[in-house]
Amino acid sequence: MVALDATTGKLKWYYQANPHNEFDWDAVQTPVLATINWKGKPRKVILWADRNGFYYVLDRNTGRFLLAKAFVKQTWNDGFTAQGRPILTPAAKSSTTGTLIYPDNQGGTNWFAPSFDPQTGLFYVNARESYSTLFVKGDVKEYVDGARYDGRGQVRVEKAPMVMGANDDEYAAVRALDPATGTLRWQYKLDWGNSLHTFYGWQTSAGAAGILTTAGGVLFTGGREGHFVALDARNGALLWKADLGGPMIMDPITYAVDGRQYVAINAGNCLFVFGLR
Amino acid sequence: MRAIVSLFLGYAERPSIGPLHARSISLRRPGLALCLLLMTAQAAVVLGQTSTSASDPISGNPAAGKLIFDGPGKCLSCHRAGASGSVIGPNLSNIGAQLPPDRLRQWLLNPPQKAAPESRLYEIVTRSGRTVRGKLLNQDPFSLQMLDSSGQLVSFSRSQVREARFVDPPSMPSYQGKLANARIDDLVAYLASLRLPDEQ
Repeated sequence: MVALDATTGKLKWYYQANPHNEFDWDAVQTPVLATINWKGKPRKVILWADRNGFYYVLDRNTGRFLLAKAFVKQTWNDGFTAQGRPILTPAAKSSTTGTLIYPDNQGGTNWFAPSFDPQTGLFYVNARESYSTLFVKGDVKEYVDGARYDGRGQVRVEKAPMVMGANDDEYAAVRALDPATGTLRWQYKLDWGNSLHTFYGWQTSAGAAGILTTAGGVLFTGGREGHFVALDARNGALLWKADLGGPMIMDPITYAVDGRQYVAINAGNCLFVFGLR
Repeated sequence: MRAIVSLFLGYAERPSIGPLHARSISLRRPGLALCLLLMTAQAAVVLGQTSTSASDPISGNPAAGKLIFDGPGKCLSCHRAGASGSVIGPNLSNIGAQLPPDRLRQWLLNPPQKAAPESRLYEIVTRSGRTVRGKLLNQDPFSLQMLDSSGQLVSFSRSQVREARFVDPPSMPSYQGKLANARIDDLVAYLASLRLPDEQ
């Protein structure tokens, strides 16, 4: 992530969460600006839930690394230097025989927005408990003009027999974190398992909608199954749901027209707008 | 909260996220290559070719192996190959591409007694006392979907469900001593021939 002077475009500071990234863990997550109680004093910070499964707190004036805490199961990281550079575990390397990594390449979270609610004081993220086996492919492929080229050839690997059936250790959930420590306060599970991934493709397991919190104490979000939900932002209790029939992977938004408030969400290929009568 | 819903139908373009996972579902018919393989195997039977030693990995007759698989081996009572069989156990439609022949042989002679976690069955007991066992396909905060033991899709609302849990499947029996070596070779040859068309 980079901080640029908005007038001049000059780089003020940067932080790289995944140097020499081999797992497709890019930095397209949404940074959240907040003022939180940091060791007894208010501090202007960036709250960042990264694809690599870690929740970060950085000083937003200087970029100084303040905290990193895993918010999903991860097996690639063995700590951080004082400057915040990750220390990789020996297992955190793809191989020709396959390396099991938590989280998977779609990550602990992705493009969908997190939220910070100054009233509850909580940071909310749609988190994915996931894992995958990552391979380095075989020899460098010969380039053929006009054909798909992705650098390396196919490699056949031994796989376990294909089975059908969802498991319960892979799931997507709204997680509410204490922003100063990254400690989990509550979670609301949205979707389980990866089994439908193969029917509908990446989209169904890649994540959920973003999170919208409102001054009325309501948290809106949705997931793969088409359930658009409103939760109590303090404790995750379900207040309301609507079954929209399509996966939600965008952020809900709220706006007012002529003094009347609306909440909108895209589900599947349709845009739904809700309001109070 | 009563809702006013207005639908705006639009075309949503799929964002480019990165390389697609190459996994694909196995429930497809075997391709032309498999049919030709079986025809070749049957021609071999007609010409009087027999299997050689049991240590030669694919010395068996795959067509004879299929007859055992579909018949006295009772494999279809737990497994699936192509369009037939049960969903209770692992799907073997692509097993020839996934395990080498010596591993296939080991599996027949000495199958693991403890099921891998992904092979577990799911059991639901409804509030009305009905028990359904099968493969869990999906769950969300409000519902669960399963394939029952006959392969039918069943959906439950969580409010209908009294208990829901994973259970171990019945253990796979060993064929050691139950089938002659030459028949094991035939089964291995058939299993080794089970391959789906190459994934895109």
